This record gives sequence, C-alpha cells and structure tokens, in this order.
Amino acid sequence: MDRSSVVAVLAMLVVSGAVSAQAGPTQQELEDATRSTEWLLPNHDYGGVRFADLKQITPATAPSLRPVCQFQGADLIRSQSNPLVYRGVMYVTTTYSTIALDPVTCRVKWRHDWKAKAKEGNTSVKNRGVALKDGKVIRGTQDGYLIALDAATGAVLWEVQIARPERFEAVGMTPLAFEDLVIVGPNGSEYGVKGWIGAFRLSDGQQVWKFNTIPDDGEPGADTWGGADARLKGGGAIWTTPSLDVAKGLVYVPVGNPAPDFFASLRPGANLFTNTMIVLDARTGALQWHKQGVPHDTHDWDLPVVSPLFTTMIGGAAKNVVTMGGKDGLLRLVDRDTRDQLYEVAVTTRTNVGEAPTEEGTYACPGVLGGMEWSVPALNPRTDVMVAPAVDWCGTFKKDDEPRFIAGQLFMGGSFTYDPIEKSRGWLTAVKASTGEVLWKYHSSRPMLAAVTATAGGVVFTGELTGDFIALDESDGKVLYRFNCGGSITGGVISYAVDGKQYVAVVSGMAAGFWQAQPGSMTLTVFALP
Amino acid sequence: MWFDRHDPMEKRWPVRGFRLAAPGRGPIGPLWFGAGLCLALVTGRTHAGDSASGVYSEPQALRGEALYVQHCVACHGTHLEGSPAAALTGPAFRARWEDGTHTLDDLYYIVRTLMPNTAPGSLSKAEYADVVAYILRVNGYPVGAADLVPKGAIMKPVVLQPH
Repeated sequence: MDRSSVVAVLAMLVVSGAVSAQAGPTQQELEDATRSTEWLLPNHDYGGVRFADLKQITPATAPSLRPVCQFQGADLIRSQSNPLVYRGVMYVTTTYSTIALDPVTCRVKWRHDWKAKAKEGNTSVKNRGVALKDGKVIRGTQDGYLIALDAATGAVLWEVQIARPERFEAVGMTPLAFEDLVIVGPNGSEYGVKGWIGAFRLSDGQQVWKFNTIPDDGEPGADTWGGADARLKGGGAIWTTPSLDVAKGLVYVPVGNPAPDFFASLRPGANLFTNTMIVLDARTGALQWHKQGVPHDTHDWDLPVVSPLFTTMIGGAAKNVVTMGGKDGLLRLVDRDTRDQLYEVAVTTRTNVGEAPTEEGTYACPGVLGGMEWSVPALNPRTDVMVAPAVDWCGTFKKDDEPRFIAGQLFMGGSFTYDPIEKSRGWLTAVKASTGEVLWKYHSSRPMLAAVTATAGGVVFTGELTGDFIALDESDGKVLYRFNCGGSITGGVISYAVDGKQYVAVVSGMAAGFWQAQPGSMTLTVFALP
Repeated sequence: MWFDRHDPMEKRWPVRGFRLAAPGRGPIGPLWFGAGLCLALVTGRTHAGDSASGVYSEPQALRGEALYVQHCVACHGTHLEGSPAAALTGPAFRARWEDGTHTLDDLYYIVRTLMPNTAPGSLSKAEYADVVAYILRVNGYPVGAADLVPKGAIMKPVVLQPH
C-alpha cells in the first residue's frame, strides 16, 4: 500500500468512527456517558447519576415487561456485579470470571476465568464489576491483582498485583477509568487493613499515585488516632466506586470504617479518613478537601456513597453538589464549592446513634448492616427526583472482653446481634434532590441492596433481597411490574438500548450469609417490552 | 501494641493433629511436628509422652455436631463446606487456620465472639467449645479422652498445624 492509500484508509477510519467496536470507549465517550443510551461506567457516568435517557418503558407500558434472555454464571458467591454495555457488548463479572455477552440474547462472546495466584487473605469474597476504556476491560481480584483483558477477546493484556492479600487486602470494587489511569483501592476494613486508594496506568498497570486513607506518620490526619499503633490496622478500606468531577479533574472517594469496629477506645480521635468523602486531584492524588460522615465511628457505619454528583438549581442559583451517604442512614447533599452540607435526610430508622457499644450491649439503629450500602441513589435530573435504597435492621452492639487481631479473621472488637429476621426491612426513599423533601417511600420486606436506575420514561428499576426485580412509578413509588429472578438481587440493575430498543438487565444470585436470604446462583436476566 | 500480643514468634506449644506435643518455641515448632510424625508412623499411635492423645472427646464432638446443625449449618453447610459463609474444612480452612500462627484459642475466640452470625455470644462457653470440638473432629484432629475445656489459658498454647 502506498503512502496515499494509507492516508486514505486512515481518513476513512476517522470518518467512520475511527475505532473498532472494542477499541473504546474513549475518554470523550466516557465524559459524554451522561447522554449515552448504553452503560459505560459503574454508575452510568462519571457523576454516578444512574439515569438512562430511555423512555420506551413507561408507567403505562412497564406492566408488559417480560424476560427475554438469561445468562447463568454458575457462581455461588456474592452476586453484586454491575454490568456495563458498550457498542452492543455487555461485560459482567462473577467472583473469578469476566464474561462478554450479547446484551439482547445473553449469548456469551468470551469468558475469562481468573486462577488465584496468591493465597486470598480475607474471606469477604466478592466482585462488583469492571471498568472499560480504550479496548480494555479492567477488574480486581480477591488475591489482590488488577488485571486488564482485551475487550475483543478476553485475552489478558496485563496483570499486576496491587494489593497485599497477606495483609488481608482484596480488590472487589469496580475500578474507575479516567484518561490513562485506573483508580482503585482494596477492601477489608474488617480484616484490619491500612487503607489506601491509588491510580494505575491503563497501559500497563504500573502505579502512578497512591493516597493513604489511613495516614502514615506526618501525613494529614495522622494525629486523629491517638498514636501510630492504632493506624497500622485502622481499616479505611475502599469498596465502592468514586465519582468524578470531570471539569475540575477531581475524584470523590468513599472511604470505609475504622477497625476494630466496636472497640473504639483503641483509636481515640476522629480517625481520619475513615467514613469520609475525600476529594483528590484525579491526576496526582493530591488531597483537596474532605468531609467526614461519622467521626470516631463505633458502629461500622462506613460512607460508601459519594454520588450522584451533579449541578442543580437551588434558590434560583446553579449549585455544584455531591450526594454523600452511608451506613449511618443519612442521605446528605453537599455543596462542592462552599463544602457546606445543604441538607440531610434519614432514609432508615435511626435510634441511639450516639451510644457506643458496651460489653453488656447497646441497642441501636441502623444496625451493623446500615443504612445505605454499596448501591448508590439514582437521580432523574429532569424531574429532580433522587431515589435511595436502604437497609433497616436494628440490633445490639457488644464490645468484646478483649480486642484481638487474628490474621485473616474479622477484626471487629465486638459483635452485633440482629433483631429477628422478621424485623428486618428495606426502603426506597424518593426525595426532591435539590431540597431533600421526601416525596414517597417504598417498603420492602427485606433490606434493599440492589442498584437503582432512573429513566426518562419515569420508571425506576431495582430489585429486592427476595429475588424480585421491580419497576416502580417514579412519581409515586407504586410497583408497576414484578418478576422473581430466583436469587437475591444485591447488585447491578441497568437499562440500555440496542438498535433503538430499551432493555433492563438484572443480576441476581447469592447474598452474603448474614443477610439470611434465599440462596441462588449468579444469573443475569434481561427484560424488555414485547 | 494491642495486636502484638499475637506475635507468631511468641512461646507456644505446637500440636500435631490431635496430639499435644511437648512444649516448644515457635521457630522450632516444625521440628516437633516432624518428630511427632515419625513417632506416629512408627508406633501407629500418638506420642506416648503427650498429656493426651487429643484435645477433645468424642461425646463432646457429638454434642458439638448437634449444636452445629442447630446454629451453623444454614451458612456453613452440611459438610462444613461453606457457602455462603466461610468453609470450616478443606483447603480453604487449612490455609487460613493451619499456617502455624493460629492457636486453638483464636478459633474459639472467633466462634464465641462472632457466631452464630445472627446472635453472637448466645451460646454458653461450654457449648462453643463443643462446636469447636466438632470442627476439629471433621478436620481429622485426633480424639482424646477428655473434653476441651473452654478456657483461653488451656487453648492458647495449642497451635493449629497441618496433620
């Protein structure tokens, strides 16, 4: 081929969209994901708004929904994966496998099975999904690896051990891809990790920056622990996806609880940056500011929610805001410019929240399971309606007679006795996003853990621990459609379009034992109108 | 400082299988293990110098089994295989507990402080010891003549080892 032909071919590629289906998404596509009718990022877009601009499924048509295909992952571990859809291919995970499939027929295109290379340090085994960028599918593993697969074939492009399973770190969260970086950190607060979040090069997995969520000596926040010993196993793990302010290049990171959870006298002080939203320069990891949800936590009330991040009209002025919430059961809206909290709304029962556990036991709500867990609220920016899922399950917190760290075991410093299962329940709370005014509540017979998705059709999709996939009317919370998927729904529920037709994909399967739910095998079910 | 109490190098007695071996120190634990293995192969039974052939009794393991069925089986499985909770036997259990750094008291501590997950601390200490005895039996630890006494001072020197 001569030079002019090469130029011609390149020009054609540019005109036709330049990249093949599996070479993206590009940075521009990710930044435009807000308007995408596919699902490119864990919570749909960098702001984590979870709004799909699709309106075929409406309160009028939703009762006609039906399952159109299923994929079974044959996995009996926690099924919390959030699928992504890009250019007609869906990417979903099980604990150890990554699967690319057709989002209309559920037929598998490729599957990659990770074989653990290191002894897994903690037993909190799970995977919440992949990041997708520039033809790469990136995910974490339980033995501390970050791996990149070829989006077209599933072949391993690189694998780097970023976390230390011997220190009980595991990588279960969905990483966030931004420019040439993959932002991710390890979970494991309950195993006494010393938390951090880092950025790794998209091209080869090499570390670019790292921020200690539990400070080393001399770092910001180090003086909030009563000494260096407490920080060595201080927790502060990362287990949910950050949100990102693209215009300013700032990443908003949700940081988990301090350890030991209930034996707080070992760590006098505010315990920064546990239960904190930290705001970092996404390109350098430099701390810009932070806001702590529960200082000196004594109840395992992490702060897993730092989205939706959006701009809205409040009092006649445009405000840049971010939602902040956690297992303490409070949904907060924070002004990203003034850093002031604009409002907080209780989305579950809150009782005796200030009572620290004793050896005899103190009763409190929320219980050790929250509150808001790993699924974040969804926002319909056109109607100003935000819908948040929550757990409501109170109980008795007890402090141990002695705190003991046992390698590879839970480092709680106490225990929690749940109220009877009959008293457990869940809520969806819809609020006016700009003011916090509660619009409606949906009551579930069990805690609500599934992802929530809002749509332009005025229908909200989510699932229940009972296994029911539900579609609700955004205007009043009434259930329009219900289908039992056969296993608990504790993970991804997304909506997307292929060839102009709207679909909803739901992951069901196993919940962790402490939820006391119907066991099931990981299953992806796709719904559509006839 | 509080977590240094469990420095794996601290003084402990290694135990092989069901047998309490003679006192040793962490670094030479494997030697005792090796010696015990040879003697067991030669004599076909446990080391004559041990205080007991095992650290729990058969009746205790049977009581523990009944308690296990009542309180544990829903999460840990009929055969202790785990799912949705952690496995209490097999390679995962051995890798987690029989690495030479965990004592029998560590296992007892986790069981008595965190289990059953829905109601931690709801059994008596003797009942928790019974459940631990059952876990030991399923994992092939030798049976002894006397019950495992639910006291940290007795269980702390016993290091869980491959057997």
